[in-house]
Amino acid sequence: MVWSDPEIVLVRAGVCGYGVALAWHWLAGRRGGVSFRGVTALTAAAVACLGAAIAVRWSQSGQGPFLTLYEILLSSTFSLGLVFVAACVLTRAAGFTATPVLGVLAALGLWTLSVSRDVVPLPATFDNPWLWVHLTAGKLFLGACLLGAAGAAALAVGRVTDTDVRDAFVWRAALAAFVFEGFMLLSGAVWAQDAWGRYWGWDPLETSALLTWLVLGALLHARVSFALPDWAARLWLNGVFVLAVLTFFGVPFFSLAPHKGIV
Amino acid sequence: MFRAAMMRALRWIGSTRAALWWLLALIVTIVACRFGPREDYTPVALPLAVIAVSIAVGMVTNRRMRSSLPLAVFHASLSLLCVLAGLAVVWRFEGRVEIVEGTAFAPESVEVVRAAPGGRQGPAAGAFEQADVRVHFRGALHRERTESVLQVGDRAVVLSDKEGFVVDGFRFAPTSNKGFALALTWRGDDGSVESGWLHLPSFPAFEWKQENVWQTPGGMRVTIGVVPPAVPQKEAWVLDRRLAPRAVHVIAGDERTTTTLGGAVRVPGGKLQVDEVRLWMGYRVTRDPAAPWLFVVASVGLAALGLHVWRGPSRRRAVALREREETDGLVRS
Repeated sequence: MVWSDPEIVLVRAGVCGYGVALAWHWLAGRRGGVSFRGVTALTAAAVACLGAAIAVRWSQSGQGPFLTLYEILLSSTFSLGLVFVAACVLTRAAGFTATPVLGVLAALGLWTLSVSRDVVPLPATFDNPWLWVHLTAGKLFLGACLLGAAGAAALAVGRVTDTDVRDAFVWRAALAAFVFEGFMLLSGAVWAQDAWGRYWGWDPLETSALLTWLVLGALLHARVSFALPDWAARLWLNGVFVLAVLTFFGVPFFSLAPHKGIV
Repeated sequence: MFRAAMMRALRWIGSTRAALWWLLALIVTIVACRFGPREDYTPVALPLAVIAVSIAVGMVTNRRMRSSLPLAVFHASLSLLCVLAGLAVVWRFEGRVEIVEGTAFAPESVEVVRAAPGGRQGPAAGAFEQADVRVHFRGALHRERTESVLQVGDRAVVLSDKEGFVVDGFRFAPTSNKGFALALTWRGDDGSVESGWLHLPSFPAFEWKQENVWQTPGGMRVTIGVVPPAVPQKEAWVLDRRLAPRAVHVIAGDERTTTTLGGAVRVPGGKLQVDEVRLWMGYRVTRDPAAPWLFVVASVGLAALGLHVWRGPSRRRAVALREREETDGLVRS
C-alpha cells in the first residue's frame, strides 16, 4: 500500500538517509576516523530522494511546494541538505558542522513525516516570478544560517577542534545569511506589492523576518565593536537560527495573517 | 575645547558601538509596536532617523566604514534606506474602496486606513469608471484569477490579482473582496426620493450572510438581502454579473417580504424599490512616492554588501586564511 505512493516512499528514504549519515558520522567520529566523503555522498543521496519526492508531488498536484506546513518542511529539508552538500563539496572546512546539521535535517525530516500531506490549491496571488526569487533567497538564507549556527554549536560544545579556519567559516556563513536574508526581504517586498498591493504590511511573518535580520545584524556589529567572547557570539548566532526557524515554520502556520495566503 | 568635545560626541554617535544600541532600539521599538494596543508602527520612524544620522556621521568620522568601497556604499545606502523607510512610515497613504460596476470612482467612498496629516485622500472624482468584473474559481472558494476592467477615458484597463493601476499617484490593487451590490430607490410618503447602492458582504467568502442593514430617512432599520447562487464545490465556475440573484428579501421589523428586481416593498414611511443587482470590486488604495526609491537604494545596498562579503573582510586576511587551510589540508588543490 505504502509502495503505491512513491512520494512518501521517497520522503522516508530521504529522512532515513539523513539519519544513517548522522549515525555514521557520529559513530565514526567516536572511533576517530571519519569517512567524510562517504557521509557527504549519503547525504547527497538523501537530498536526491527528497528532490524526487518534490518532483512527484509537483507533477501530481500541478503546483510547487510553497503553501502548507508539509510543503515548506519538505522543500526546506531538501534545500538545507543541498546547501550542506554544496558547502562540503566547495570546502572541507564545512565538514565539522556535519553532526549538528544532519541532526537538524533528520529532525526536520521526522517533523515532515508527521504532518498532513493534503494539497491546498495555490492562491492566485502566488503566481508571480518574484516568488521564485524570494523563495530561493530564503532557502539560501536558512541554509547559510544553519551552517553558521551548526558550526558555532559544534565549536561551543568542544566536540571539534577550534581553529581559525573553522571560526572564519562560521562567520562567513553568518555574513552570507545576512546578505541572503536581505535579498529575501527585498524580493518579498516586490512580490507583496504585486500580490497584495503593498510592499510592506507589518504582518507577523514580515515582522519576524525583519527582526531576524536585525538581530543578526546586531550580532555582526557586536562582534566587531565589543569583542564578544566566543561563547556569547556563538550562542547569539544559534539564537538567530532559532528565530529563523520560528519565522519559517512557526509564524506562518500559527497566525491568521494575510501572508498565510488569501484564497 | 568645545570643538574637541563635539568631535568626541560625533565620533561616538557614528561609532559601531553606538550603532549597536540604535539597532537594539529599533528592535525594541518594533516589538513594542507589534504587541502595542493599536499595532501602530509610526514610532519606528524615530530609531530609523537616528540610525540614518548615525551612519551618515560614521561615514565621516569612522575610517573603518570607508575602508572598502562596497562597505561604504552599503552603509550609505542603509542610511538613505532608513530615511526613505521613515518617510514611508509617516507619509504613506493607505485606504480601501469598493466600486460598483458601471459607476465612477468617488474619493469620498475611500475608507482611509492611514494618511499623513493634510495629505491627499485619493485621485480626483471620476478619474476612472469600474467596468465588468469576472472572477474565475477552480471550484468552491479557491480563486484562480481576477479580471477587473477599468474604463479610463476611452481606454479599457484590465486589472488582475497581480496588476494594479496607478492614477494620479495612487495605486489601486484588486483585493480578494468582491460581492453583490443592490441599487435601491426610496420613495418616501412625504414625496422625497433617494437612491444609492447597498453593498452586500464579500461573496463567496461570506456566502452564508448575504444581507446588509439600511436605515430609512425615518430612522427605521431595514435588513435587505439575497439568496446567493450555489457555489459549485468541485467544478470551475465564474463569478460575474450573470450570477446576480434576481430575488431580494426585505426584513422590516417582524415582517419579511420577498420581491424581484424592479419590485417595491412597503416599509413604514415609504416604499423601497430594488432596481438591479451588480457586482462591486474591492481595492487597496496606496500612495507611496518613496517606494521606487526604496527598491533602488535597497538593491544597490544589498549588491554592495554581497560584494563586500564575497571579497572577504580583507584580501590580506583571506590570503592568510587560505594559506592556513592549505597547510591544514582543508583545501583541495
